[in-house]
Amino acid sequence: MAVCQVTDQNFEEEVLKSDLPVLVDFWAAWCGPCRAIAPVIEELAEEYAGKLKVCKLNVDENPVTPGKFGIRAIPTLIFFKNGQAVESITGAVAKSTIESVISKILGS
Amino acid sequence: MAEYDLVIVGGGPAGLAAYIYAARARLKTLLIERLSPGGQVLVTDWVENYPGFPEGLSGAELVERFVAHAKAWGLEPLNQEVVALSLEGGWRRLHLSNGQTIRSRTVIVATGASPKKLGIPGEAQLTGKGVSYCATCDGPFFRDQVIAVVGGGNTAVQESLFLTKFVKKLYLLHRRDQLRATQN
Repeated sequence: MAVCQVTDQNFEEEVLKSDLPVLVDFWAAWCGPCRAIAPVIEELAEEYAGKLKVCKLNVDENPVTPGKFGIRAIPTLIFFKNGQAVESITGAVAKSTIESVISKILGS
Repeated sequence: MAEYDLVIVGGGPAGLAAYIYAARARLKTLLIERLSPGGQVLVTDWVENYPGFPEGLSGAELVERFVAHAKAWGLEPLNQEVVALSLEGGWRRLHLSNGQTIRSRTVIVATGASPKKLGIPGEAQLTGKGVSYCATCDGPFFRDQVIAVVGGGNTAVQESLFLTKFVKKLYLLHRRDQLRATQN
């Protein structure tokens, strides 16, 4: 499944009301580490298709949602389950680190 | 099992340069990078001391050129993390975080550096909630606020100058009687 693009407008529909757990990558074009993890995010979207929804939110174009979640650094990855933020990772980390959080969320 | 003449661990400028040399020398070469290639220069907002680019360019643009150059020599980076190395006769064995192993005649470790932490209480808990290691990434979140930058070297001063575009007031905290950063 491709990475979905979410906005301030459709965040509730796409993320909070999602049946599947959701990983949201808060990013911006001027952020080098965001570029560094972008291919990892795309791979995760493919590998966990049907189990985990993977979305990206551009913080420049959508300032409201990052404010709600107190985001002061990017990239920040927030994991949502049943409309609740359950885990977060700040900074560009290795794929294996993200995968260990995903397996925790999918397992629980 | 995958076997190589050379495995390069790390896809920053050093790793990419090593790859270009090795590929031109017709070595069977693999470059392993845990993120995408680029390294620390990817987060540098502006580079004006790299030879050949007198007008300066962004760190991301410079990385794009490095990667394009390596790709012209067949670069297909492996997106994995190397967690251990061991010796096996004439081979070096690399152990990856996904459990796989790779054998190579030689290994170049070009894993670079990462920002030095302060090592003070609260730093880890507040990372991403006010503590940041990347001005170009996070500067816009601190618009019209009072902030402090720790350090007196080139990076601290360059990042501070960048941050002045956003913040109301900036304190530069450093230890010596003068800044270590070079004057430009």
